[in-house]
Amino acid sequence: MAEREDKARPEGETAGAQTFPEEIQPVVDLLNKHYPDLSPAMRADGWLEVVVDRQQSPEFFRFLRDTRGLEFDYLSDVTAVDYEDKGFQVVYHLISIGLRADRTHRRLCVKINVPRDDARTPSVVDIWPTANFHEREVYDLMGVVFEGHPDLRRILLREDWVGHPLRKDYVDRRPPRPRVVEKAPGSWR
Amino acid sequence: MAKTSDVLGEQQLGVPAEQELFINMGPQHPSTHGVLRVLLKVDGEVVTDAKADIGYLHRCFEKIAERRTVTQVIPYTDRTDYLAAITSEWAFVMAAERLMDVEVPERAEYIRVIVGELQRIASHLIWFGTFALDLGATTVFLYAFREREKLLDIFQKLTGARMLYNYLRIGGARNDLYDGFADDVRRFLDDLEDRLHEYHTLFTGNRIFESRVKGIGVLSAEDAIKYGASGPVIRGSGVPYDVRKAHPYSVYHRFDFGIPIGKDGDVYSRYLVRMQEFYESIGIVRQALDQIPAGDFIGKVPRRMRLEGDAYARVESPRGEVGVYIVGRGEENAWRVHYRSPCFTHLQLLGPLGVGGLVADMVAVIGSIDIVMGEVDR
Repeated sequence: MAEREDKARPEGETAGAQTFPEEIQPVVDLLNKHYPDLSPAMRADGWLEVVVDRQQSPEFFRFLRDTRGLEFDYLSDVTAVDYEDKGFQVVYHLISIGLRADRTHRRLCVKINVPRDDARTPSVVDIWPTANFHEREVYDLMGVVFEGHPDLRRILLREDWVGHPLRKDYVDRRPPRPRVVEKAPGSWR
Repeated sequence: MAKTSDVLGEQQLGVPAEQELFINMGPQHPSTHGVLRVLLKVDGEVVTDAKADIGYLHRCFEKIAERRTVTQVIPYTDRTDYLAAITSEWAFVMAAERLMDVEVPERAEYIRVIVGELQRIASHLIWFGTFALDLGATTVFLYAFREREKLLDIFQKLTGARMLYNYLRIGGARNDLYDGFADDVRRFLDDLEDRLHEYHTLFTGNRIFESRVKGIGVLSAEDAIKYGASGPVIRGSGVPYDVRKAHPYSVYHRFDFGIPIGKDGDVYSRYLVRMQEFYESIGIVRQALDQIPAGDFIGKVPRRMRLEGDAYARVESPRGEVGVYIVGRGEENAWRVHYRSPCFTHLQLLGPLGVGGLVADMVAVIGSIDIVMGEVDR
């Protein structure tokens, strides 16, 4: 019986010396071998996390999907966070499943920082088709443009909405509607 | 500047060819399970293109969550997947607990599992009733809801509410199980097992039903993974991916249960997977009731719950993999809350699964995906 997934992080870690749980060590080794400048780290919830430059991103994502030993075929989620002056951060959560779901212990969170005044990053729709709707949502609510997306338009809000509401500096500019309170005819008051 | 309304669908689907007709299925439609608009291009009765248009139930959950403390967000999570409210709460509460490193007592975990699996049964009962109703079998709908009433009574005695519970808390649950809970639940489960046999006899082997669902909406295993399918949709295509087994959370690793897997990836396979899940959930609840220890129903939590860092927690809801990503920056309110909805991802499948079939098959496909618009739009 497997242990709880978030207890995968070993106890007693010292700052600087990262020890990884043994089932994720091969992933770390492969990442370090091909991309030595990244520093993968374990997050408190049991996910391995890595920050990537957006220039590298399409090539890096293909590497994650196609390399033996990584094979991240399942994109669980694409989302973005607004860190104000630090810009936006697009967050991808990837899992390796396989047709027999026998390698699901391989999980990776990839984060891409994007400057606020140039909020663009390459789309991953050709790599994981599921990203289609997720990227549209991030574009709709956060305003990050995914280059190469086949159909980048709003998904949750109306087509003519102006602005990106999840941004921290979003101001609702819709004109206030007059509120009219009418007494019902024949009211008991 | 885009036109305000794409009434003729030409912006999304392209101008219909000479023999084709553009039809809106929804947003008000008895078979789309909520306010879903499916844009269809049909040639006669055959669908040549289909796209989902969503957002009619968008209520700004993620933005509102930034202005509430974590406990205050819990009622909002109920209202995302309102047919499986407990699992939505669970994902959120689990993410917050991982962020704050809060220990949940054993009894509380068992309570969560019991309530979560009962919620799965309740949700599948609605799916079963509405799915059959969409295909024309009205009797089944009433039978399914009759079973669900008993379950809702149990939930009301336990949490105070029939459908939107606000029951889970950071560190456990709001209150303990009431005296007599175990007896009520066991009686319900015994009853349900007998009825399920009846429903199988009535519906599953029915020739008309089989011809409506066999071979329809086939999703291959590779496509299921590529399109990010989860839950009964990916399992119906033969991939044994279940968050409770792949990344066990809470105390699921202590129970002996199987995950039903379909063979053909069609609507019928997904139907069979969900029907079998009833039995598996019944088994889990019985085991949990046997094993549940005495103890606290909620753990020690700090009085001021400040969030720092980020965490992504996923649960297996009746619809698939529900994920909540919380980012905290030292305050009591989260900096960012993101809710990953399985149905949102599944709606991308409407095109690949529905094109080439009849309009009636589209109804079967939508039913087999089990869509709840509350979680799609949030």
